[in-house]
Amino acid sequence: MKKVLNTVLIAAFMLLGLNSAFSQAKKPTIMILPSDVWCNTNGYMIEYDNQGTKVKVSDYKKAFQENADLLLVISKINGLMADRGFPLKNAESVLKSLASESAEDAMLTSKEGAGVSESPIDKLKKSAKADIIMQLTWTVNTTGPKKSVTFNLQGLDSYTDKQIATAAGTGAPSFSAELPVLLEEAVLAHLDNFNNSLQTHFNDMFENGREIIVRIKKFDSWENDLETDYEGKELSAQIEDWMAKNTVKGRFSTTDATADMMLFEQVRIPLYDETGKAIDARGFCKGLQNHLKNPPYGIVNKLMMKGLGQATIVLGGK
Amino acid sequence: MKKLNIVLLLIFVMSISFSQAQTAGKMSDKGRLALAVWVPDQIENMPVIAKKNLENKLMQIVTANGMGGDAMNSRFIITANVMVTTKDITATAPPMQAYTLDVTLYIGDGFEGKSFSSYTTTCKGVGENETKAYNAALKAIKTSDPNYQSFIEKGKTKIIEYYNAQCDIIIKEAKTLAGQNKFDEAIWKLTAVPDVCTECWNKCMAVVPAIFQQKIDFECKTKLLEANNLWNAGQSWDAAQSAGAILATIDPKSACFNESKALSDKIAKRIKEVDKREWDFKYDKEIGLERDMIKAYRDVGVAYGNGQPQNVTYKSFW
Repeated sequence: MKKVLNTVLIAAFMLLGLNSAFSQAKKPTIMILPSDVWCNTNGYMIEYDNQGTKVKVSDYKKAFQENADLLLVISKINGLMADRGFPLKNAESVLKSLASESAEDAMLTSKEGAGVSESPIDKLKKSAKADIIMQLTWTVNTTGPKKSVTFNLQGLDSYTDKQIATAAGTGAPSFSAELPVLLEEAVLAHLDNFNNSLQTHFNDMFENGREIIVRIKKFDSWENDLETDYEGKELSAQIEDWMAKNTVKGRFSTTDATADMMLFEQVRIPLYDETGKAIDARGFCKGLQNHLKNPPYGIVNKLMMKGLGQATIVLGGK
Repeated sequence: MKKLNIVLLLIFVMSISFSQAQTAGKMSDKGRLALAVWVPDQIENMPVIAKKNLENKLMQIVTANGMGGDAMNSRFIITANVMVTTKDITATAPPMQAYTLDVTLYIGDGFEGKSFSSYTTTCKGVGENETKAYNAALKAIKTSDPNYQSFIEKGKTKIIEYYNAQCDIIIKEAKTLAGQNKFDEAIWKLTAVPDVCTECWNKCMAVVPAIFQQKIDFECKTKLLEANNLWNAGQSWDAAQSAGAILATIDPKSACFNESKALSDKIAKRIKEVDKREWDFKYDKEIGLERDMIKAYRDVGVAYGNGQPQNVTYKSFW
């Protein structure tokens, strides 16, 4: 009991620090989801035939509706985080909201009989989103009459695909404890480790800027490409120059570059712009968007975002 | 003088509006051609609901472009083939399916499996399952797309060419059918020729009256024999009523009409002798009247066509 209390207190201090640090900057949203391995082990997968290839994806909705243990673990973590002023998005509620929003959009009609405009890409984006996904896995080990729980909690940045926090381990074996009790103990035992690594990630973010991903693409109707020369330099090089000038300490990596696309990873952007306004990937890329719109380029382009940490600029159209 | 001018002006205005009404009321060539809508079963994994949706779209395209969508003669069809060019399944919550479909529309001879014209359009759709994704993609097909005009125009021209080339064969087949006492089918075959194929239509209409006469003569003999049998079997009031019901449907233009009259007189005389009452027999007034014979021929054809089982087998165009 004392151990549990200590754990809770440590976690509270961690999160209080984390919360005050985020009082100005844009807060990343966090959501817990069961991992693919857990879903597969527990039979919560949907199998599709994708033009000859069998594809399995997690059926989160079914898992939330049918697995009481999952609900217990998520609610425990949600509760502990919320107590410390850092509420998480509840995936189950998000799924329900998405379903009702989809139904409302289908029914929404103007007085003139017009429906809501929704492009395929809009529809594709209608999924549960968070800046950080807490991926949850646990397995129950049985050794004779003893039971123990191996618990793994991974914090994944949705945009950079990096694991930014982790907590994993196996609890003490027990003769008598029920599975929910073992799971509860595992959550309490691992949450402070997880928050430690999360805090490290946020500290790094304040020091070196938010890490984002920027993609440059082109519409096939645009006659130019990223190899087109502007003032004696290829457009891709011009974009790289702008990135070097505008990122924190000039830090970014050009992962891919062809005539039709560019991919920038590990792009470090400031948390605030020069006016002191908190910015995210979209705010940062607006600068590049305007830069490309203006002379000598004069390129009409479209800016699309995905949460705080991913933005795509498509050249040659709106 | 002034009044006269006003009257003349009114007459002039009315004559213009009358001539415009005549033009507007005249059915276009295409309006007198009809296509059957057919979506084959072998389209790649297409859900049943989506198939119905596609059939509905085809019907809308046909009618929006001024052609009949309910074919009396189902030889000529509008059909579609759907190729899935891309299919993606996202591992999101909920999982999304994104499709790119190439929908190729065809107009052609369904019996021969011969395409007259085709038009391909690409559409994209996203949904939480295969059916929703297909429906979203098919919803994007704009039935008002002006490109359908030339596609349908080309198909229409080929249909007219077909009738003009096959006219003698159609007439020969109809005469053969009439020789086998299949008068309704023969008339259906001849009246199914659209009146837009003027040359062929005139040739067919010249043959129909003779076959129609054969039909009513044949029916008259059959009905007379049946009425005679009924009367001879009973020689009572009830038998008279049954025989009368059959005699009433005999066309006055048929060759044996006088014989049927003789029988009805015989029945009336005998009833008076035996039953001591007047037999009130009347021919169907509608049958004996002078009427629009072309409409009468067409009605025979339509009745035959509607009575046929809807299990026509088409050959695929691809």
